[in-house]
Formats: sequence, C-alpha cells, structure tokens
Amino acid sequence: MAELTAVAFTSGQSLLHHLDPRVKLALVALLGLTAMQAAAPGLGLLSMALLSAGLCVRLPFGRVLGEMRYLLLLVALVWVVRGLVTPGDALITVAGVSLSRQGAIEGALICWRLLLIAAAGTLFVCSTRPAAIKAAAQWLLKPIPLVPEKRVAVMLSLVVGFIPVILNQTRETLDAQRARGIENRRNPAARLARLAIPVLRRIFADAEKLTLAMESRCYSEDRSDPALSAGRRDWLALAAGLSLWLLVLLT
Amino acid sequence: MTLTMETAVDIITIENLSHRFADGRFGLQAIDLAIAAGSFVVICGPNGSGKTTLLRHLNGLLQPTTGSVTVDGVAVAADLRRARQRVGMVFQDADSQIVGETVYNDVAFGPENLGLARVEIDRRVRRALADVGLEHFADQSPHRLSGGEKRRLAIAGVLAMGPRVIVFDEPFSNLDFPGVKQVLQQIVDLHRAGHTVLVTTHDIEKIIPHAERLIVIQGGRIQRDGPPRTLLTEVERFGVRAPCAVKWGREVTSWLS
Repeated sequence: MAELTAVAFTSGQSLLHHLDPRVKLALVALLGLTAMQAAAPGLGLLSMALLSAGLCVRLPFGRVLGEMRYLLLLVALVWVVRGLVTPGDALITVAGVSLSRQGAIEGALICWRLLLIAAAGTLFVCSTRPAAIKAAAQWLLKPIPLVPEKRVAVMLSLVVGFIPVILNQTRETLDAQRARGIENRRNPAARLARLAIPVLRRIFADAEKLTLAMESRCYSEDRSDPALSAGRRDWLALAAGLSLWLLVLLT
Repeated sequence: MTLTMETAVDIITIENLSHRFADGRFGLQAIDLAIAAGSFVVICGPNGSGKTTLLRHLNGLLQPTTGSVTVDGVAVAADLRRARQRVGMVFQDADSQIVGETVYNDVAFGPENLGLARVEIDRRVRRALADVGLEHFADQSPHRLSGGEKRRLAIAGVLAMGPRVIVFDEPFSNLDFPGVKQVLQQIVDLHRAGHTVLVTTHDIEKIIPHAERLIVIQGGRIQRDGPPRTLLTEVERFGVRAPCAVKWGREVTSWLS
C-alpha cells in the first residue's frame, strides 16, 4: 500500500480547516507579498502567526521538517552563496574565501522569507481537502478565456490521485530488478533506462484502464460545479490577514 | 452453439453480436443473448475467451462490428450516456479505476458527470458508501484502503449512478480470503436488493452457488448456457476449472456459509 507524504490533508476541526479554500489561497498570496516586503520584526510577527496556525492545525512539525529536508538544504545553500557573493566585513575566512557579515544577514532574511512562504503553503495543503483545492483552482481559472477550467480541475485531481500509484509501481519494479541483480550494473543511465521503460509501460496501460473506467462512469466536461461558499468567518479571516499585512508594513 | 433463456422481461438483449479487433482477430462471433431483469448470471471462460470484450459492449465501451446490444429497450449505440448509467461496470483492476483523491470524491465522480445537484450528489454518495460499509472512510485516501475495500469502493462508485445492471469483471482477482468474502457478500446483497448481476470469471468456485445461470464462452462464442447445476460437470472441456465439490460428487457450497 502506498506510503503517503506528511505534507497532505489531515482532517481536523480548526479554524483553518473550516475556511473557504479561496480565502485561504488569498491569505497565502497575501502572506507571500507581506513576507517579501517585511524586515526582521515583521518576519518575526508573521512567524508567530504561522506557528500559532500550525499549532491550531496540529501540524506534525517533525515529519513535515523531514519531508522538507531537501528544501532546507537548498535554503542553506542560498544563505551560503549570499554570504559569499555579498561584499562587506568578513565574518569567517576559509582558504582565502570570506563569508561577509552583511551577506550572512541578508541571506538569513531571504531564507526566512522563503521558509515562511513554504510554511504557509504547507499549512494550506494540510488544512484543505484536495477537492476543495481543485474547486478553488477551478473557480480561479473560470474567468480566464480559452482555459477549460473543468478539464484542468479533473486533471489536477487525477495527478494527485495517481502519484501514490506511480510511486508504488516504481518501487515494485525497482524491487523486482534488484532481485535480479540490477545493482551489479555500474552505469546509472542503463539502470535508469531499465527502470523507466517498464514503469512507463505500466503507467500508460493504467492510464488506458482509467480512461475506460471514467468513460463507463459517464465522464463529461458538463459536470456539476463544486460547492464553495464564503461566510462571515471567511471575511473576518481575510480582514485579519489584511490587518497583519498593514501592521507588518508599518513595523 | 447459441442458447437463449426464455424470460418474461429481458433487460439486456444481444443480437448477432460480433466484434473484430484492429488486427483482424475476432473477439466475439455471432452472440445472441438475453439477460432477464433481476437475474444473477455468471459468464465463465478461459483467459482471452471474450468475456471482457462481451461486457464492454454492454455499456458502449466497445462498439459491435456487426449486431446490436439493447439495454432496457434502447440500443446502447443510440444513447451511450443512458446505457452507462443503467449498466454499472466494476473493472478487474480496482487501483486503476480510482478517480477521486478521497473515498467520497471518488464515489461522487459519476453523479457529478450526470450533472446532478449537490444535495442529490451528497445523498447518493452517502447512501452508496453506507451500502458497501465504507461510510467511515469518506475522507480517507482511496489508496490507503485494502484490496477488498477498494473493490467495494468501485462498487459504491457504480451504485451512486443508480444502475439497474451491475457487471463485475473478475471481481475476486488479487484478493485474499477475507477480501473475497467481503466482495462476494456485496454482490449477493446487490442481487437481493433487486439488481441484475453479471459476473465474469475463470474461477467459478467462489460465485457459482449464488448464480441462477451459467454461460460458458470460448473462442468468442457461447458454448453452453443454462442452470449451473447442469453445466458444472462440462466446464473443464472449455478450459474452466470445475469446483472441487463437483469432482467429488458433492454439492458446491457458498464461501459465505
């Protein structure tokens, strides 16, 4: 059975769980804008707000950090590069290469902003049903001409649904090849080709089966629209987000 | 040999159906068949005999090369949407028919395609989930379900569309014993609730005690058609293993007893 990621919807009763997905998307966008403009005190305020939201949602912080390990590595790399390329007072010098104090501070602020945006996205994903994300995406795409929003929404849903299946198939194929000594082959390109061909063949075969299953359940683009409704609580949340944005800009 | 059971009300009528694949091979040849409303029919045959090809004509997933298929009085080709709503199909591979990200959304897929109102979709989904005993899994990812539960989810997805006929293609493949019992119980319950049930399989032992009619298919042709009791001693001639009890001269008992 597929092992699913920690960065996925977990049902709950928090305020964030009950907000309209469109409002949550607007709040994430607002937080991103605010973070890009904020200095250290403002970022501190945003961090406190996100931490509180994370506690409300009961985010599994340890598991989420584990899932984000590659992002954390990338952020650390950004910090080091920024420290190395920004001129200023040397903080550390190793083999003639200096990390500047100004670069380290600037890099830290950039990394802080990136992490806040990633955290806001994670909170959104963990507190919003995939169907609600799909519905919000469909609503946002509706006014754009020439974009078939219902088809895009179904495609989004299928991609999300099929990721665990593809991961499982890849794992099974890999295990079968390990059992037949694929690891004795040194050339990684040859190993990748041996893995990719059967996995892709299975994915295409499954896609065909899925098409038949969808057809037999009357798939059509003239489908019922998803239910979305924003109430008083959603408008209050949006107002709170805007207030936070103003507060951060003024600090 | 082509045999047709005499019945008062036939919900599916197949006349002179042949299907030829793109490579020239015949998948089905001159099939004449009538399925009575509310009946429980097992179609058996070895791999490649044409069972799945036959099923796919019942809701228009495949079109006949010659002949016609009629569901509830209307030709399938004349109204595909109606045929697909009336004939619900549960496929062999449960994983590759999952469309939704949650159990609820997967079941809602069919009613959404029918353009129903949200209230009606919700009513149908909750009822279908309750009917298959998955109501407590509504918010869960379908990929976290067991094999038997996935098969029941596929049944719920079909039930939510309000079909009169439910067609199962190899419903017990890749299932463990508890999974087989769960799915079998579900099929029996659906028949008791008044649905017409068609099951294709090459392993008849699990399902045959509940069937009212057995159709043996081989090489794309119907070879035998009649009450299971009269045909079980013959099925091995057509590449289908007879239940052990038949070989010992005993009555075949249900896996549910």
